[in-house]
Amino acid sequence: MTVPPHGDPPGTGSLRYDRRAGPLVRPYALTGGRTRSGRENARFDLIALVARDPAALRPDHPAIGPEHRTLTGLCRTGTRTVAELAADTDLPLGVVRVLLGDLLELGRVAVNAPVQPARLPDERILRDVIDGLRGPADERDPSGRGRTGTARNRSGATAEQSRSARIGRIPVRAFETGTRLPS
Amino acid sequence: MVSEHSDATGGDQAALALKILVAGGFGVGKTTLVGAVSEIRPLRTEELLSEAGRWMDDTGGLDGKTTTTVAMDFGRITIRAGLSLYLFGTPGQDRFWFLWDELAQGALGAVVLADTRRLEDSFPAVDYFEHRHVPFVVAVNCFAGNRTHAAREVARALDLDDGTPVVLCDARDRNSSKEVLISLVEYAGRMHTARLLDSVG
Repeated sequence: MTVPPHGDPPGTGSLRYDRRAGPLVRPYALTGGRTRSGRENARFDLIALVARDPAALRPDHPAIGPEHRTLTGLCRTGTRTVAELAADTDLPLGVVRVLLGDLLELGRVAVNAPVQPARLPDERILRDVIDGLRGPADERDPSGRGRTGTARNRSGATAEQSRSARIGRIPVRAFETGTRLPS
Repeated sequence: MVSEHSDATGGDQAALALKILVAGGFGVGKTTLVGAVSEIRPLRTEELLSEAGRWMDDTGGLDGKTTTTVAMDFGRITIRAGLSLYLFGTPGQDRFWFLWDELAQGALGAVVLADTRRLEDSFPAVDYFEHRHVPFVVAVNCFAGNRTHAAREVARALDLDDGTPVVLCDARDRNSSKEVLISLVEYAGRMHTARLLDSVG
C-alpha cells in the first residue's frame, strides 16, 4: 500500500481511517460492491446540484444507511455539488455517486444537472461572473488557513462560508484489493 | 429579493454552478492558483480506478488487481446567491485523459498554466482543449525571479490559434489569478457569441 505524498494526514478524525492501519473500510463495501448508480444514465456531474427532498424527513427506508443519512444531512442547509459532497464525506466520488443514485431512487434528494455553457440563456450570467470576480478587493487571510466564516463581500456568501470553513481535506488513497466484496 | 438562504429551498431554478478547469504540467502551480482564488481551502475529491486506468464496472472483477485513486483538487468562488464558480485542477498524468473528458464536459472554459522553463509540459493540455473546442487561455506563471517572456513569444511557441489569450500571472496572488479567470470568462463569452452568430449565419 502506498500513500501518495500529500500535505495533511489523511482523514484525520474520520471513523473510516486509522492513522496506523489505514482505511478501515474499503470504500465500495459501503455500496455493497456496486460501482454504478442503479439509475440508468444517472451519471452525476461533479457540479450537479443536490438538494434534499422534503421526503428525506420520512422514516428511514431499510436501504438507507449511515452514509446516505450523512449525505442528506449535508444538504440540509442548502444545495451542494456532488464534488463538495464527496469532499465533505471523505468518500470517493464513485461511492458518493452510487449512494446518491439510491437516494434519488427513493425520492430523498433532487438533483439538478448543470446548465451547459452552450445553453446559457444570455451573456448576463457571464457578465455577473466577471463583475463578481472583479468585486470589492477582499480582506481574506492570504494564507487561506485558519479562517472562520467571517462576514465578507457578496450577498449570500456568509452562511455558506462559515460552513465551508469546517470542510476537511480528503485523503488520497491508493490500496490493493485482495478480497472480493459482497455483491 | 431572495434571502441568503434561498438556495436551501432545493430545486431552485435560479441556482447555477459553472465549472472552469485549471490544467498544466506537474508542479506548475495549478493547486496554488485554485487556492489563491477559492473561498474554501482547495478540496480534494477522489476517484477509484483500476490499474488500467479505466472506470471500474464492478469491484467483483478486481481480485488481486491493484486499484489506484486519483485526486482532483477543486475550489469555489461564490459570485452571488445561486451562482457559484467551481475550479477543478486536472489530474496531471496522461493516463487520466478520460477523467479530463468528464471534467471538460460542460465546462465554461479552461486555464492552461504554463512555466516558460518547461513550456512543453503544457502542450498536451493545449492540444486537448483545442481539439475539443473548449475555450481556454494560457496563463504563464511567472515565478519570482523567473525571466518573463513576452506573451507573443509564448503564443508562437505553443502555436496557438489566433485570438487565444496569453496572460502573465503570479498564481500565488489572488488578484493576479482572478485576472486570469476574468480573461477566460471574457474570452469564453466572445467564443459563445461567435458560435451563435455562426449558427444563424
